[in-house]
Amino acid sequence: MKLKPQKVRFFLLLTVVSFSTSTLATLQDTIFNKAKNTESINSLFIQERKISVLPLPLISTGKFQFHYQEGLLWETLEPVQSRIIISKKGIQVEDNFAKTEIKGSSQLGKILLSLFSGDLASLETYFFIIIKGDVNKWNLLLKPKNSLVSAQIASVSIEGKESVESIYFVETNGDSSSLKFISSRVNLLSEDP
Amino acid sequence: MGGEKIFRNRISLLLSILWAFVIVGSSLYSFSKMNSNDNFESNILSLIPDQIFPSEDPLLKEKLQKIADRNFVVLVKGEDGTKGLTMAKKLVEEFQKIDGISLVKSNAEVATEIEDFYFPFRHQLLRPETRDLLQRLNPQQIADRELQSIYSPLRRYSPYKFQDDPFNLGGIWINSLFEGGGNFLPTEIPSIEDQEGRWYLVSGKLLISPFNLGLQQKLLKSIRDFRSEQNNESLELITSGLIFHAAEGTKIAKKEISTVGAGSLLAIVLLVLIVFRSWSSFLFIGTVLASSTVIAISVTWLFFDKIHLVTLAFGSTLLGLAADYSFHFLAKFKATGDSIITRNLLLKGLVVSTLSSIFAYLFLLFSPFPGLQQFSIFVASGLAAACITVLIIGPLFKKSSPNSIEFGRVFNSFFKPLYIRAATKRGPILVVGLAVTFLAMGNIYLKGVDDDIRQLNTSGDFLLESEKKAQKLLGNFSKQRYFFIEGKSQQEVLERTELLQSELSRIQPLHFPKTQEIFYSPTAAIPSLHQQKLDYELIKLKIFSEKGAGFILCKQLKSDCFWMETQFKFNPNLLPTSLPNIISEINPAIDLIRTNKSIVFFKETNLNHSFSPSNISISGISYFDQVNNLTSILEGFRKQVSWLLVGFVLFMIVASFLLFGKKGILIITAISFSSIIALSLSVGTGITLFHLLALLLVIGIAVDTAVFFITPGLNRDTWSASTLACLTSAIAFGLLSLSNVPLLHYFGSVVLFGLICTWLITPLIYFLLKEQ
Repeated sequence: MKLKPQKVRFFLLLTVVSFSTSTLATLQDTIFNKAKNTESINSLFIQERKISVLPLPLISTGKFQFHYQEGLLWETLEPVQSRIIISKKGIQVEDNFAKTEIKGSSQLGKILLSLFSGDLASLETYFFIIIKGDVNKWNLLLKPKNSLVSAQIASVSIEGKESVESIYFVETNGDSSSLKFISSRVNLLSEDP
Repeated sequence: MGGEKIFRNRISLLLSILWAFVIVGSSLYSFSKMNSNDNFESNILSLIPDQIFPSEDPLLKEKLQKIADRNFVVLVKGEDGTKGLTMAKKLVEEFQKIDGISLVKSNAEVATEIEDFYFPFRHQLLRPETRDLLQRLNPQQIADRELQSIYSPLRRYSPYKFQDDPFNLGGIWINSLFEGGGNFLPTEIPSIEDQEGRWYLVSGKLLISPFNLGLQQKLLKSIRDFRSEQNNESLELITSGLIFHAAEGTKIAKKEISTVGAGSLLAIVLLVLIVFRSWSSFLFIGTVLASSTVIAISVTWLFFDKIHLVTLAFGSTLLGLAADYSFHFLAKFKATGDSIITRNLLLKGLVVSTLSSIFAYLFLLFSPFPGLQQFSIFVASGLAAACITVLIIGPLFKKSSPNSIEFGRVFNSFFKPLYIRAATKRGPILVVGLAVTFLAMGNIYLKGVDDDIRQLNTSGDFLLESEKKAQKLLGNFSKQRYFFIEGKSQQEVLERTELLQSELSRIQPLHFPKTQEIFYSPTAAIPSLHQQKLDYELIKLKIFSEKGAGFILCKQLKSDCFWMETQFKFNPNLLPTSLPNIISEINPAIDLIRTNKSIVFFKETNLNHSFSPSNISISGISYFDQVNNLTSILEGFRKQVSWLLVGFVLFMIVASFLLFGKKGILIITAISFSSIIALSLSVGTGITLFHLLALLLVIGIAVDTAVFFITPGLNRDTWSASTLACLTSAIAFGLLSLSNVPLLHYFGSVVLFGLICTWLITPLIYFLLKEQ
């Protein structure tokens, strides 16, 4: 019996594809399961926003907190002061001018909340998710699924290890923002006996 | 003698043939009408008088209907967001197969078209709240506020590039165009979330009337098929839109027709077969019922373009009434054995009772409700046909040996002695009678009146709940209250609309949301040129002037502002005629402006009494509150009908004495007592217009019964006929009293109690008067 090289190549390719697909699916589950198992995250952030017409990037810094029950607290300290609370109920914005309740949620607010709370289903509603890397250093690339989202967002790239470390957000009009989370302290939920 | 008989028989035969021609002609006419489309009406609003609408202008009516009646929404929820989306897509596919509806597009192309259209005007359009902010804050504060927003991690909807619209005024303007736009998630099919989960929005517009029976059936079938295809317990649907209510009304009306019609027919057939035990009697009653129905339908079509389904539901009680005359004839014929003698004996009673009933029904013509007018024509013509058929066909029965019906024995052996015994105790009977009358009157007085428009409601509780839930999720505007604005030119209409909005914001209570949140106005898409100019000046002054917020913001962003356009000019081309179709689809009230008219609706459906928009008096602006209008219309008509009723009773009193002398007291007592008792037993939450209209029928029935007891006189035959007639009518009206439609329910219950009371009490009064 003679071994056919074509068949061997196909078999090998199939094995590699199946292996990598299952590995990546496992990686995705690991990342989101870990996020689901997170009780709280405290960190500092640096936001760098690039608006094409402006010569310099707009840099802001502040505190970031996540709690699995309460949602996200985003507190900008420099150069302006504001507090934003993002939860499933909606968004609350407090700045020097007013305290505003926003019903529903903005797209970026939704992405952030879904990411930190491990809500994969919600992210998949809007985006195709492409995953790279391993548990120690991973990257998620989000591409809009429909024209309504793509009219505003071109792509979102997320990198992380233990938890999310940076988010790079490209808008359809060419503007972009990067968010870096530093000095993160992650508390996991105690496992059930 | 023999020659006279032959002559009489020939005349009878000739009349029968002639009548048969009329019936056949009517049948052919009805059949042709039934086969041509659109001869039935299911719109409950067509039962209501036209004066609740602001104008008879057909274009305006059409536009109002387009705004208020032609939109529909189905919200779909699955086990989770992904499954819900799959189901919603499937439903969209189902709906796309239906002719007569177009689904509302919600893709990015629509948004781009709107964004492109408003781009040249972005520096002259301000939402009221943005205008308020620019007026209140100084340029430094405006710039600081913008800076906060730029540094925020949340991205707001901003369709134009930063350099083109640094303060996102265009974005705010466009976002507010979409109803509840801010709350919708940009999923493949737009969705909205509540505590129960994610609801996907499938919305559409009807290209034809929501009362088109074919379209209703197609839409409901499509939803039914979709449900059974999905076969998923977690699937939830919420529907909103007039078409669903119209379809429910049609379903209920059809159910009433079949229940009342089939119930009455079955009862009649059984009674005829049990009591008369002859196929000829059965055929006779069948002919009477068929003739009266055919004539009723034909005559109604002669007077009205369309027959309303509610008329048919009401009209199915005709079967019970028409059978009465046949029973009287058959019972008497059995007793005499001669059909000619029978006809002669019954002639006066039959004619008087038919005329009194017809008269009672025709009184409904004075009612302002087109539906009731149609019903009165339907039943009056049907009763006339029944009477004529009995008098013409009846004498064709061959002679037979006299043999009173067995059923009549009950009267001789039980009821007659009972009534006679009771009649001997005049004092106690009189006291009890008076006590019952006073108690009933007291009850009626305590319950008072009820003019609630829910009497006209034909939608079930489930549908109303679904509607409420959809309104809560979508925050749609109320179509019941609105301002109607007219002017000499389009710009005058827009300016008046703006003036109205400013007046309303001035008088609205503090706890109310801001103006823009409670009104649905065409100026949200197209302000007047005057307002555009004012906003242009304000924007120029506060943002783009040398000391404006724009330059302050530039400094804060460390930019030399080379990109900021500051020398822009006012663009006078944003006019109602220049708006693209897509804007009219979002805000259909805009189309009206082209005819120098406009409509402003309230978004807030729970306006409390402290807010009285009706007090606003601006030339060319009228306020319409359909809920209040209808309530006061019902109240006015109730009062009007009360006087008609009083007039009718007085007329009956005079007519009774003139026709029957002292014996007329029987008629008067029977109608008074039956009416009071029937009203008291069915009054419910208060006397409505429909209770009073039904009383007219009670009076007609009581007169019928009493007249037959006077002529030919109360005996086992007339009592048997009355009892059988009462039974069949009681079944018809009893079934009607079970209706879910309030007005049918009131009608049914008043007449049912009136019938029973008449049947029980009239013989007693007869014997009381006889004893005297």
